[in-house]
Amino acid sequence: MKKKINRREFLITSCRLLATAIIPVSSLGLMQKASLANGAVEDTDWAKVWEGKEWGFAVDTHKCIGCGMCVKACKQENHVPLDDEVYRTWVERYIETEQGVKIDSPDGGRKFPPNEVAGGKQFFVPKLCNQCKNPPCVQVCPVGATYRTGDGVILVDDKRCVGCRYCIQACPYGARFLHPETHVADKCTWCYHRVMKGLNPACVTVCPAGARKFGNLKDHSEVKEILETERIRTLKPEKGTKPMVFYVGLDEVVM
Amino acid sequence: MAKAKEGGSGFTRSALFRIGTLLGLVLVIFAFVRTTAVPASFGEYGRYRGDNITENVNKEAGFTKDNSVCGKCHQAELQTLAGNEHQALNCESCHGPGNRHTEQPAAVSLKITETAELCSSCHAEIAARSEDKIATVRPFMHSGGGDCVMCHNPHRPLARIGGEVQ
Repeated sequence: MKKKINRREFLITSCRLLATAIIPVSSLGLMQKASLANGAVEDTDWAKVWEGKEWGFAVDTHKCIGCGMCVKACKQENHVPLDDEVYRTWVERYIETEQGVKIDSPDGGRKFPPNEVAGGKQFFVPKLCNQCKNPPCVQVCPVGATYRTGDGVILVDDKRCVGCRYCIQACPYGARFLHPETHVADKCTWCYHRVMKGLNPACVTVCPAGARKFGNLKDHSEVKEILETERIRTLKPEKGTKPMVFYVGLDEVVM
Repeated sequence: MAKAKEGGSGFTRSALFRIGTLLGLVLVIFAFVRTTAVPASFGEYGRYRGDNITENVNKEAGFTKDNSVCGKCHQAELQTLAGNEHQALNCESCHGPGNRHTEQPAAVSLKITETAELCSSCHAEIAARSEDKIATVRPFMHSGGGDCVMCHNPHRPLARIGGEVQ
């Protein structure tokens, strides 16, 4: 006897057929992606590039003269508008008076006015991203748009960032900002694009006082020597972020 | 009795089919969303897009390596600089990023037209700026608002008037 198929049965059967046909196709696609990820997709295997590298940054606050060359060069190198009050690196001036500590950084440290207070302890402290070993900014990103590379630099994926500013809030050093033109999170990368080309970060290149040093901590670099011979301090160690910018001659009042 | 049993199994079967279809649909939707919403290189090295490393690294460098790059053409200037107070300076500290200039020397000029403000960023007297480390002046009192190059040659800063005599 011939079985008659009604509309309901037809729809159910065709749905079932479609589902059974799509599942293997989709999972095949997933498997392909997985195998691509394991192999070399791009021509560079970054894990190999990172081997034997751990970048470190040393700042000698005794040497800094507060000229702001680093601030300007950083903005030019990394396309941060010169007139906007956002900075990947900046220089702070600390003035210790009887009333307390006064901190300023006019235009990121490019335009320090001759101050009225003459005496007391006064000094400059350059600031930048600390490329923490335990970065809160990476932890809070909801879309995986920021990450720490194997050689110790925290980068931002500007195509993936949705500009939610969680990372800006999370950074205890105020190192992040929303880029006024791209409207995504931006931060100091120790000029990773330069470092990978064998160049020093722009701020290190232009510093006329030699206050900024950059190098590989797993190699015989100037920074490693500073770490081994000088008395160094990091910023806000109590936060447990394990900063990788090491300061020589950092005063107690510096935050 | 037999009729009731048959009806019962038919109901179970159709219920199972419905659940199965639903489960299949969920799987299909998940697989579809997973393949379209998650970028291909996500998770390659960690919880981020692996391709972004290359994108970051491929950004163009604005500043050159060091003065040796400038010295390839500007030997005279480098020689003037040698041995004086400014010898440790990088050309680009004052002249700005030079990579474009090395590619198109004629089109991209690094000439400095104004010096009073530029020199002041290092040499203006500020209490926090120790005189042990750098020679400082009060710019206006020192030059009356005039450009520094009226008297100083920045490539040989302490040789007076045009920098030819020392």
